[in-house]
Amino acid sequence: MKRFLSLVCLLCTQFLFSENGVIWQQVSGSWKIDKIGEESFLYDIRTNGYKFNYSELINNNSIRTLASFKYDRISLKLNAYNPVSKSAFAVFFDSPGDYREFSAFRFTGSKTEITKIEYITSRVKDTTLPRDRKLNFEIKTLEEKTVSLPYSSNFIIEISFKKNRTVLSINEKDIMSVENKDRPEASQLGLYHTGNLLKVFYFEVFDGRKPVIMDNFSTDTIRRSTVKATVEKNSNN
Amino acid sequence: MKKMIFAVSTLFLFAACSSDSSTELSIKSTELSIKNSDQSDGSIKDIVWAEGDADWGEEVVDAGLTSTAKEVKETTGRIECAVDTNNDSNFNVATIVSEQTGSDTVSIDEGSSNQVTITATK
Repeated sequence: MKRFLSLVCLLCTQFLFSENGVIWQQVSGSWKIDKIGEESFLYDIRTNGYKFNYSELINNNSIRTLASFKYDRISLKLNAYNPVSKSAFAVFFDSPGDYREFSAFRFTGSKTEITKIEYITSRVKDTTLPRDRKLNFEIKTLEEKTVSLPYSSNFIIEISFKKNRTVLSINEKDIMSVENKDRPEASQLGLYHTGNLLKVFYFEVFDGRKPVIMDNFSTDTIRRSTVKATVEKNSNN
Repeated sequence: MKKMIFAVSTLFLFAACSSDSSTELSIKSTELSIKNSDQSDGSIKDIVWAEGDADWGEEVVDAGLTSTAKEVKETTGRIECAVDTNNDSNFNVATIVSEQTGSDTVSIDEGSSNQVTITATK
């Protein structure tokens, strides 16, 4: 009986872990969890990022997994809305630890529609410089495609890594297939946006058939950096 | 002589009028400076007020010192700074949260020189 209970407890733990087994790190922005009806989602209340210039991630409103994972497929449902004149959002991956190193599919657009999808990489420009040196990173567009996608629509985005290629599909339709030879064994991944608001309904990551991350954002697992402060206000007229 | 008295009177009148109008037109700006309390664990930099309404860029404010004063438009906002929280030189944006109220929003007085003292603890 005890063994049976232990097994049930173990299974329950594994179930909970697979449901919410990821801790997110807020890099910038103000990310929250909310729920409308039965559907919970992750969203950011900020529209624009602030250029601190340590990395592309800190310059845009971004969130990423705290841990590294081995994976070959990413699947998520998101909705970008309320765009301003220059709007962008991206799903990034293959980030081995340094915020300045990653690959991503970046969606950019005008105030009325999403007009372009790019496969980009971010790399450190000069590895000999101290890591707190600003603007020591370089964003390169390796491939791009012109598109016409509406805002305020739900998109199911899938990114799969097959042999030496990375394939992007949107709503089950293949959009881009790019060469990607040197993937890290395990890496962090996440999202960023600027010039719009973003809602994410689920974020799933697989390694073969094995689910690695299955987050439907029913629980807030976001780590946010805060500086606790005693605020004293003195004003002189 | 009459002409001279008239000219001097006109000058006085002009000076008085221009002085009055300048007093009437002067609108006091709102300024903000950040004091890093001497009880802080260390220096702060990359300070941003109200999502970029004002920023102190590379200015490092050591414990016990006060930043330069900046003119601001917003009178309510958040104070943020870049921090290397994991000691891995990956910088995250940290919001300064008041220990008294638990709020991350600070209000300052319009038309005044405001100084907000923060005691940053890791």
